[in-house]
Amino acid sequence: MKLHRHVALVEVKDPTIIDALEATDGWEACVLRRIGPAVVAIQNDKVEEVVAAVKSMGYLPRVIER
Amino acid sequence: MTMTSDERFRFALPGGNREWVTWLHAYDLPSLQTLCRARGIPVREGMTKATLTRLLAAELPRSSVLRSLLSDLQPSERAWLGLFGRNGGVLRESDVRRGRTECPEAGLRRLAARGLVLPGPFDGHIPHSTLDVSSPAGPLWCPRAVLDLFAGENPQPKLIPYRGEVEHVALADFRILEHDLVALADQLRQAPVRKLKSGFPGKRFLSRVAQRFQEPVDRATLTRMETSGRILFVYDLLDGMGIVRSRHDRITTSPVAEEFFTKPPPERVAQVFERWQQLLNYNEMYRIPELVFERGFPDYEMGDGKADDLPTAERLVEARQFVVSLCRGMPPGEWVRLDELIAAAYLLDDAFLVKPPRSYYYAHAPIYLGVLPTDDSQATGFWSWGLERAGNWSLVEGRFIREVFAGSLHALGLVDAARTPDGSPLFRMNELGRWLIAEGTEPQLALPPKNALVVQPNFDIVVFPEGQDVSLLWPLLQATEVISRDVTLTLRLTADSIHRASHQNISAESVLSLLERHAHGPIPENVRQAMEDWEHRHQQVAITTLVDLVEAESGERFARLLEEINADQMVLRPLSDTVGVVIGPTSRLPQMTSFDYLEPLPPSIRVSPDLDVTIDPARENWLIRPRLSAIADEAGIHTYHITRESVLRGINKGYYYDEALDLLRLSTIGGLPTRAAFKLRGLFGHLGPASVGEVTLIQTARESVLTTMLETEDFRELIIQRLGPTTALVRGERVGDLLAKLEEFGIPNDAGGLTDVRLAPVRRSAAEEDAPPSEVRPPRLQTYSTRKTRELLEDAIRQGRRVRIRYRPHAGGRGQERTIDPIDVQRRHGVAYLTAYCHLRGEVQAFRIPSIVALELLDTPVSPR
Repeated sequence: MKLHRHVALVEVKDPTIIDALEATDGWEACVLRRIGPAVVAIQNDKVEEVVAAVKSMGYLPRVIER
Repeated sequence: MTMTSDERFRFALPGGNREWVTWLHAYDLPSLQTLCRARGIPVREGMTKATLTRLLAAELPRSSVLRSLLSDLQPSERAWLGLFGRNGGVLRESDVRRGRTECPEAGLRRLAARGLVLPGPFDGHIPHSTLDVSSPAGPLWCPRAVLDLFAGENPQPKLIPYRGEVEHVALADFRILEHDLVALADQLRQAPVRKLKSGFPGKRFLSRVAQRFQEPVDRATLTRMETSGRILFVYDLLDGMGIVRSRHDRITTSPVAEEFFTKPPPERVAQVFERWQQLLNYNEMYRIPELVFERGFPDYEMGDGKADDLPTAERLVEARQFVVSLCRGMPPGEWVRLDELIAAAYLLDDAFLVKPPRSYYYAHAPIYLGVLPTDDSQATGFWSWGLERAGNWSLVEGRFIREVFAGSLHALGLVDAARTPDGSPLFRMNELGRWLIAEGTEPQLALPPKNALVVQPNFDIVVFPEGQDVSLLWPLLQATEVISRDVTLTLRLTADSIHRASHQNISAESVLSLLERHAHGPIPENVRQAMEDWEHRHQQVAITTLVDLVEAESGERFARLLEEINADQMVLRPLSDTVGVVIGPTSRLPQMTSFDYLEPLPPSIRVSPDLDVTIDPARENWLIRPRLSAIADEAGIHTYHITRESVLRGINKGYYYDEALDLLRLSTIGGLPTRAAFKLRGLFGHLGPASVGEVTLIQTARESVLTTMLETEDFRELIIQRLGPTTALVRGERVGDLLAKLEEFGIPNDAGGLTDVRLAPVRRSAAEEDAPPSEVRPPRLQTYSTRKTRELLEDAIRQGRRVRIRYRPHAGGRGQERTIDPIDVQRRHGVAYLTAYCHLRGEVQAFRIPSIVALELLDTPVSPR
């Protein structure tokens, strides 16, 4: 049993959004693991980069800060 | 004789202490002891009459003492006081004679002995010989204060209205305060500011906010809240209502703002008023311009831990409530003089703000400990540790009443201010104040009208002056960009502004509905559709930061954990068969099961001098493999190897030397070997020391051509590294492939696309390859302990050497490299600081030494300054 602390989660309604994100440059440096079709864990300090990538795809991501 | 308000006020002030002391001498020892005990003054054996008299004198003629004197009246004394009351407080000799027939004389004697009845007209001096009331030399009189208190246990002050000429009327307006609340909250929302140690934003921010404030016009300086006080007042109100909050040392607005500003106006007013009564940082006492305050006189501390007479937070709140209760006695719609309010307060409770003296060591001169006068105040007597209480009640507690009325209550929009022709302050409760304080009828506060704004097809919103109510302005300011502020306010809807508003819990749908309610005419169809589209795009992706994930070995184990956690009222939201996100604190998880904690970047790898990387399976975490794979080739299940090719691949993906060095330095168990660091620098910086073979330099006519090539998979595998906007390196043996690809893609290699394909072999000679690379340098910036860093900096100062540092003043981020000329190292508040000239900023700055995460002493001497 492992507890992974202080990561960030990207959840999407349409899994193709994550597919598209995976094709972007620099995604490997941000992603930790794709947990499910519509959920991916990313590094918390890469949230800004991911938000920028999502915005460049035309979406307006909701960022929930804890 | 009927005393006027002014006379009564003069009597009420403690200037008459000496006269009362004279009367106290008439008491016998047991009576004085009883009086002392009633006042909570400790009576010890051996205390003489003189001592007890002095202790009591510190209290007289405070209304609280009068109350204790009146608490155990006998029937005959009551009868006499009733007689005084019927005669306007005065009895002549004939009345005394007549009274004797109705009331036992002993009652009058006892009243006189207690000092409740005084012989002769009040002239400030009463000779001791007149104590014998059986042969009064003149008329007897009973102070109005005594009669008022006698009339009821807690009489409501009967404030006499002022009906004379009124000048310089300043009408209170709650909307002005609301405007300032919105201005400050909106400013914080736009740009969260750093929280200082004091808990407030910095001065620069506050002065910026002050420019947006709409302070009430008060040319006659009737009201008493200057700009800095007003900012503190507004900030404290917002803070108290939870509209501002601190996150990661930054102050910003919270979602509560939306809830507050969109409430109906009466609820907003009531909430602000209620919050004001509880304010702690904003203290009206400290706004009294005639006084200064000094905390802590330990010599006078009497075991209660308090070494001054400054009111505690609880006392301050009670004092405000007391002043508010005074307002209830104000005649509706009538002006009341400040003197009248102060006199009434004195009669009701003369210790409503500052407690009676706690320590009797200084009872020979009872003082307000820690309260000192300014040079131009009219204090009647003071010591270096405080103002004398005698004669200064109105300067301390009376002025507090003035600050509450002219400052807070006026700013809250509840009390109008004015002046008499002779300059005395006047106050009057307005309709809003009567509703909130004196239970008047609810005022009709204007709501924004239906046609308050116009929405244009170009996404601009024009808000008319009558529509600029906070309930409309606040959500609009969150969801739009401000284009211009004038008589009308022009805003613009954009995708970003709608996105930003969503963080304040304002959805595009709610903005649309707000616009529909208040817009003149229908919303243009293109605006409506765009907003719906923005909302849809906003709902598609959610990113949650700083979450904790639980990962089980199997689905079965995860299902068991789900039951276990939810049964304990902790929420685990499953994301897959084996992974779930924990909502709420994870502190109880270890009690339920055994967990390996994986923090970001714990040391988890071992690196050989040849850059062979081995992952320690026991310490592995999710972060290390994705990061390693960016710069290293996977060689086995737990092994990676960093090679020239893998580094170049990393560079092409934007993974540079600093990141790679940080990764290895922070993740290597036992620290990164020096030789490995040397080699890494060589790989990144100079394509050596390993042989790079033959490479080809290509140059394109336009930057976009090379960019397109790098974005294309077919070309990307051929290009080693981009060197500049139009130049790149290609593997020598792949030049043929490159030319073939160019032909395949139809890119001419002589014009339009590649203008020159020039072979530029950089093969090193065998001798060069064997020789140590002269340009390879050790990693410049090394990390040291704080102590070692300080020692190195002190060395640099002694040797006059320039230093390069990586400075990271805030947690997170990699910090910034700076070149500095160190000047001095000092300790302040237990933290070591370096004063140095910063070449980046071009000025002398202070650097917190624990925030210098890495440094290198350069050989360059510092510049003479």
